[in-house]
Amino acid sequence: MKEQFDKKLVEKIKASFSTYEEPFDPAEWEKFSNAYFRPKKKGWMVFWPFLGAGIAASLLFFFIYFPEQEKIDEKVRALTDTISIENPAFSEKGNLATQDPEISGQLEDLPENDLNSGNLEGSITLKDREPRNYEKGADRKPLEQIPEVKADERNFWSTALAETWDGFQEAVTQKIDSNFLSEEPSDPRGMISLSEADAERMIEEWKAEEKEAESQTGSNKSRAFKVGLMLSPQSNSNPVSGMNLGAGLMSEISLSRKLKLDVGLAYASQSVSQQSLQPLAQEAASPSFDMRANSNIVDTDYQLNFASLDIPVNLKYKVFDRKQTGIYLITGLSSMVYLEQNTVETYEAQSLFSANSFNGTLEYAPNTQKFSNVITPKAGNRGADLAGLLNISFGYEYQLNDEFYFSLEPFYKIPLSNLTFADQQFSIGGVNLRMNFNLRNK
Amino acid sequence: MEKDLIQKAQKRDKKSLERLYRHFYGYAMSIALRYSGGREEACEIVNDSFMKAFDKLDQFSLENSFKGWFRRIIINTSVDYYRKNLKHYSAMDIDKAGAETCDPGVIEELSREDILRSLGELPETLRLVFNMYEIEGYKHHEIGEKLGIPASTCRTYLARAKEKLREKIIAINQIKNEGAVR
Repeated sequence: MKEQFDKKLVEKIKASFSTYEEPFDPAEWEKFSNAYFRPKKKGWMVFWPFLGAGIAASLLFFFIYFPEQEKIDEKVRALTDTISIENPAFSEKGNLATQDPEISGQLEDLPENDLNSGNLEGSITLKDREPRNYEKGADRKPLEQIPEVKADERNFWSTALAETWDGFQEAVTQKIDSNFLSEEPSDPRGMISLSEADAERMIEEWKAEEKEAESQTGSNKSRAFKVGLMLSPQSNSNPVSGMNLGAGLMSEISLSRKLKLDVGLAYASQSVSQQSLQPLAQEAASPSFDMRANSNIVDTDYQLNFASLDIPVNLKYKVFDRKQTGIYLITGLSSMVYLEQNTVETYEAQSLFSANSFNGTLEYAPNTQKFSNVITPKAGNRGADLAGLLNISFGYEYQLNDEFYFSLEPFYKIPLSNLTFADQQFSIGGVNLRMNFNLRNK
Repeated sequence: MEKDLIQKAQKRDKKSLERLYRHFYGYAMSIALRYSGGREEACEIVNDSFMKAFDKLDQFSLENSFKGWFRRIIINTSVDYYRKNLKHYSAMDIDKAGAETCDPGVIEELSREDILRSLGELPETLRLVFNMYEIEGYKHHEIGEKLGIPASTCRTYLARAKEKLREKIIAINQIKNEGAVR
């Protein structure tokens, strides 16, 4: 009877739908054409925020470094120009030759190499023959008192080169005294009498002073760029199995002395116990015999697994600054690129009866069956979540030496939208252990 | 005429694509309605199917039947839709229906709407298995592969689907009879 019923039903369904067609609905075409003919996003467009962040970071890097490099170049150029331009022998050889035949003859005797800007001694020797101060028959005593030597290198060279040889010697002595030894000028001739031990002590003092000056300069200037390795023990808000370990690379770009930009890439694999999306009536699992059902769900389990690349872009603000340590407040956004993701849905059902597949009758055969269903996203479906997590963290940094920094950053990531293809919301907490390397010192 | 339309549509001509959509919309809906729980779901399946078909239109050979090709796309889309939304479906509805005696005569009185309503009220898995096996002629192992379930489970689901349908059709018939008596 039942078989006949089923057979007739199938025939009826086939007959009812074999020629039947639903009337066209123009609204559906509108909906379809809007979705289908809309300009499609190209695959690589998904990565434009990362590309943008990379360009921005490069520009920042460029603007921080370029002015510094320019300043250094400018200083070097200024020093070179000062020496070469203010070397009168170099610029006025022609004039001397035309003005005074005696000097002209002396100049011609000089090798050409002696007149270049690098050969300062040669230039200086010629200095006392400069036409402005040259007087026939006059001895080589200074015509004017040597002006006080100033800290400015340009003034020093112009003063020194403008005077006679004795004046120059005195000016250089004063310069050496003021720069390296003490405030009181000393006679260079006196230095000849220095013992070897004293000389060594002086050299050590100079070295110590230089080192101190360098370290001061270094600490004042911001460490512009650091690259670091990172390990991140972490867990999510619905963990399946405790902690997971993430790892990756982080770079830190100094925007100012206190403000830094952190950009990185970290790999982590997570298993999330999915929020139950289909609440099941657990009372159905009761072995009561007055139940109508012959299959009772006795246990269910939903699990989301994914391996992802976390791309954080964070701003760090230094709230506590000491010579070797610092404490930061950190916030920013994390984007996730999923390398692998799937959900596993497992349910266990207790079956009291089974239908005979041949005649359709019920047979009492109690058993428990476990069903598992693994769902993976279609290719290209939700491969990434842009700015899906808000990062909140603070960090403690310790400077191990000039090049290496160790930092400890407990973090908490709050979801801003649904994550993964399964549209789940979960937060992630953990600690970033970072070993940073300062590229500035290289 | 159909071939001309497809040929033009293969050149990505928007007007031709629209005409193709209009031409096969009714056909697609009649299939999708059987696989879905309601009109809204059916529309979604139809539009997804058209998107897939339009995207792969250049792979279609004019020597074959477009309807047959498109039918397969619609069924696959329905299966995809089912798999995608599996987590939202309730597993509790896969219970066995109460076994009742049934008279095949009641089937003659069924309208298309009655059939759609009965199918629409079936749990998604049972509806898919019933349609694929009984209407489309798939084998149990083929259905099992597509739905990710064992062939034996597929057989059980089919039996349950039939039982459920019997129950629903009898219920519909009873309601109709009660209405007629009043």
